[in-house]
Amino acid sequence: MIDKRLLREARRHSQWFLLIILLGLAVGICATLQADYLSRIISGVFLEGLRLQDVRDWLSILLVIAGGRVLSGWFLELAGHQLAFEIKRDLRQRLLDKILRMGPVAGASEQTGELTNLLLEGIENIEPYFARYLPQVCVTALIPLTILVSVFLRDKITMVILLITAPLIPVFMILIGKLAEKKSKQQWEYLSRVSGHFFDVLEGLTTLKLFGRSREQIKVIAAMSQGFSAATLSVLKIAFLSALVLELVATISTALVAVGIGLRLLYSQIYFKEALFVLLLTPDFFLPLRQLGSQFHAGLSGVSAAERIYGLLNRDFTPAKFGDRTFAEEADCTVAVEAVSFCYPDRDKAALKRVSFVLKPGEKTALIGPSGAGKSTLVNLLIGFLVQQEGSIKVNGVRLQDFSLLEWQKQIALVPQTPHLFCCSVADNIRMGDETATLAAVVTAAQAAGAHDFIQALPARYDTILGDGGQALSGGEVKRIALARAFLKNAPLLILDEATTGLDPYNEKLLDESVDRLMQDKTVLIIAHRLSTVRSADQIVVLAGGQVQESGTHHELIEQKGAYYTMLNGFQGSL
Amino acid sequence: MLLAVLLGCLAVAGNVGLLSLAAYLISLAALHPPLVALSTAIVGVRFFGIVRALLRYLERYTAHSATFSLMGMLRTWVYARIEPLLPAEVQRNNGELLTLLMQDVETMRDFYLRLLAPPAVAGIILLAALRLLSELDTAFLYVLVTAFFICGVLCPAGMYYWQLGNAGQLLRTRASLNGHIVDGIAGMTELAAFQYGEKLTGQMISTGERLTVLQARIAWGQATTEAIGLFTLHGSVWCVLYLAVRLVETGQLPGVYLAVLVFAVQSGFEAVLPLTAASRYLPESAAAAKRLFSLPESAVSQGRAQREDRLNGTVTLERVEFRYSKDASPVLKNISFSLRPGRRIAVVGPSGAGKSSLIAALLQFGYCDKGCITFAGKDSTYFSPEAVRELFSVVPQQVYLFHASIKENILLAKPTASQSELEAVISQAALGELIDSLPQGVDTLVGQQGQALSGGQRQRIGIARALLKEAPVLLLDEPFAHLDTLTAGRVLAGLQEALRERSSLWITHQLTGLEMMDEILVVYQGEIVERGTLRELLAQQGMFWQMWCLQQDRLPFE
Repeated sequence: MIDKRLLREARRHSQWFLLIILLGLAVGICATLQADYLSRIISGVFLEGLRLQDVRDWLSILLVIAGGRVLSGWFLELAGHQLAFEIKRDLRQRLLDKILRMGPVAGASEQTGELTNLLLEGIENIEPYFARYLPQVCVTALIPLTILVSVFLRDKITMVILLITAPLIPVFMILIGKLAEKKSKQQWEYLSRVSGHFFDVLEGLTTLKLFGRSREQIKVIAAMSQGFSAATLSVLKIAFLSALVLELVATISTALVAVGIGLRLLYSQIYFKEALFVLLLTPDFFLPLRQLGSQFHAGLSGVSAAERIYGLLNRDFTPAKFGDRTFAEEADCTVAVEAVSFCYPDRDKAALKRVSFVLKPGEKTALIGPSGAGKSTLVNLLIGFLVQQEGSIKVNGVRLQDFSLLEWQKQIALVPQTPHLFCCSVADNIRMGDETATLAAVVTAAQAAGAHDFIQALPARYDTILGDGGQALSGGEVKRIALARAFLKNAPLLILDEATTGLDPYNEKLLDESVDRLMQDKTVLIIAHRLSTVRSADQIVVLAGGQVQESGTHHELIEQKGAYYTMLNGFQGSL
Repeated sequence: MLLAVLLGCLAVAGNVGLLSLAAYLISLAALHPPLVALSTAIVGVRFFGIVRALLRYLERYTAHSATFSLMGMLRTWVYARIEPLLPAEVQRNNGELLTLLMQDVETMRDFYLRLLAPPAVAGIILLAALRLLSELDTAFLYVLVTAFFICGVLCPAGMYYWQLGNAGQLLRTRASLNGHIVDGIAGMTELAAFQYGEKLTGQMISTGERLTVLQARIAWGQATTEAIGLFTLHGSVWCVLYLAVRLVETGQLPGVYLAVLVFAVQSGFEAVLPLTAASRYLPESAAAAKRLFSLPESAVSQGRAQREDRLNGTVTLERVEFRYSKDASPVLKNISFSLRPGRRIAVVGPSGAGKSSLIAALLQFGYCDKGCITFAGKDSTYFSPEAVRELFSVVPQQVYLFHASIKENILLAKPTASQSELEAVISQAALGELIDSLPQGVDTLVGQQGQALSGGQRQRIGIARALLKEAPVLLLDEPFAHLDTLTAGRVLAGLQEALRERSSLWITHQLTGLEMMDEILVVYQGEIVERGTLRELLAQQGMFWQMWCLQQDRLPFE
């Protein structure tokens, strides 16, 4: 349960870690001193007939020690949290860097939900490990040790009792743990099934209503709840049992110590003061051991979170190399794709095989092909998210890899199939195209994209917050915001995925007009879904199975009577 | 719960008994009496040593057992309360209500477990201690009452308000960090394409910092209140010692009891110290309870439960206006059409036009304030919503499957159906091949929400289920959305038989197969803008014709 990698994190912040150890030691020493003065005072007054004024100094010291003990404990807790915060901040930043560096393509292999969960819950689960579990481990190691040493100096027999009984705690814990593990696993499965069932009924309530079966579920749920509590209890019983053993060991040892020293006192084999001192410390000796048991879960969830975090952090990933060439202002953009092949690392079949075509300024190229043909791979290569293994992509005659990636990406305006809206205002979402744009420029872009009218109707207009938890927009509206971004960016190369918005003639017409405006005088690559788009393109590239089947204008391809012709003819019936 | 409180008191008393008797034992032994004098104390110490742990065990067991049965009652109550609500009311905020309720019921566990019994135990222990100490010196009473007040009331209250002050901000910061993270992951393409990554990383880090500061503040509050509680413990031990020394000096208290008092007071705090930590659960529990007990009452009260003899499938809507909840704006306006046995009506229109709302209106899943819906000539208000729903077999857009077998899911429609009836609907929905290919056949489990099956398979199970219901009206919401052309054709052929004597309403987003419809309704922005047969609508060259052209314009792969 001491995770090496997590411990290494702690060592990076060794000053806090050291402080935790020192404070743990301080708590132990204070507890010992406190017992010492308490026994001194009680013994003095009880047996030696000391008066209040005789023990006044000791009493003051006792108060100071108690204060010291509380303060050390207080600092200990704060230091634990501080350590946890430092490590969390560190890990969060490293995870973010890693994910962003992996980029959309390598990052897409991970599930969005899983990654989000890791960055939020995973990191949070690290906190109890450092804030509670680790300090508790230190305290558990240090306080009993301090007490043991001080008891050793006063009464060796008690020390032997403590020394014998203390290891019983972990031994019993392990024994019960092993016994319990199997049973509780079975029970948890049942538990998750039952709680899943409850959720199922709630989620499917409408369906139950449709079949007139919803009311009878009241009884089912009552019965299920009963089974649920019985199952949970039988799991908890095991946890209670281990707590019982812990407490039993602690209380029986306390009783043993008490009776033992009582009898030795009777026969004057020990002084009362020493006896009282030992008795005072016995509960304190067992307390940290018992508390460690209750922090066990915090440790466990920390370790399992660490497993996932380091799994991602240690993944091999070498970003592609790019040069540092820049672009001239207002440059046109000719992109030549020359015999490009690409194969994803974990697959044997190439995604693209010797693909060639040229995108020219002022020309519109339509890329068509069934899903899985390699369209998105091609787009990812063009944007620089991926690098081909063979062939080359040349921009204005220069290898793409010679440019700085950032500079190259500034030349591209991208309108993906399902654009992502960020958790910020409408204006800021559009401003992604150009961070420095004024609101007037944003409005102009929105007008050009046909988005201005619906934005004006939003609750806070351009200040309306979008994205997760913000204002929801329809598919067509999202698309128009993405177009506005592209207008604002005004980059020479436009890559656009023309997803249709369903059977909405009004929306479709609006989008068509804006897209036409956006494409003027640009180098355009459009992933086409519509016949009219393809017809009006200057060049059609038909992609299938990672290869260019044919390319040319609509008329040329119809003349050729090749794949394009068959495809349209077979489906459409008429042209 | 009362038993749990009692056992809790006894467990604390056991601890106090163990330690004070142990102190008494050694104090007495120090006076070197005969061994016999010690024997009672020795037996007592051993007794408490064993009993105390057992009592704690029993106390935990009873408290949890009581809590779980309370939670079970709560769960049933919540369901009974939700059951009559309209789907739109339950599904508000993307089903957030449901998730919240599930969590809220779980949250109440902390309330029952940590906030109900422990304060009672603390109170009883205090009273008992006061009773015992009152014979010695009233000063002890002041010390104890003050200490318990600090640990049991002041610290938890301080903690509660501290928590409350920061909780809202913490929640907002977490939500905003969550938003940034989702943006960073789901929007990675845009981040790179628009060079936005660094800015977002910056925002994420600063939000993370803010979260850390808030958490640190809360941790500080926790640590501090707990430290105050501990200091109160040590302080009151000190005060008791001070007072006792004075009493011993004046001879009012035998010296033997000096150590006993110290141990007794120290161990008695076990009852009150955990209250501070427990108060951490208070804000959350209070919020959960508030949500649970403010669940809306169902507003639908119309319809005297009437079970009419089998109504046939004649349904007429006249100038109907429909809304999902009382305070929402209408989603349908001025809708008129009628269904008759054997008649097929198609509904087409852009997404969001209100097509699915037509089905909701028929099923009484909302409010129809203007116009009227009649079933076989009788107004809908004449029937209870349940009686109305009996008329319809529905294949929704998203078929919901329960985590059970295929068979159980289909039989939901008619638990008494015979094997041959089951087989008939399975073949009508073209499910035969699929079921034969599964090792466990119809007994195959469909997984959570049917995830073990594809969208098309789920949909066909939904169709089989709807057919088994034998209701006179069939409502289909994009029934072929996830099916390939071939399978769709087979299902359609299977449906022919069922359609002959039933009326049917088809919502479709693809303009295919419309030749077989008796009437097509074109819905746009909640109103019927065009209606007629396919031939008539195409000739009209209006909205439908435009949609038709759009569809023809689509390239044959997607």
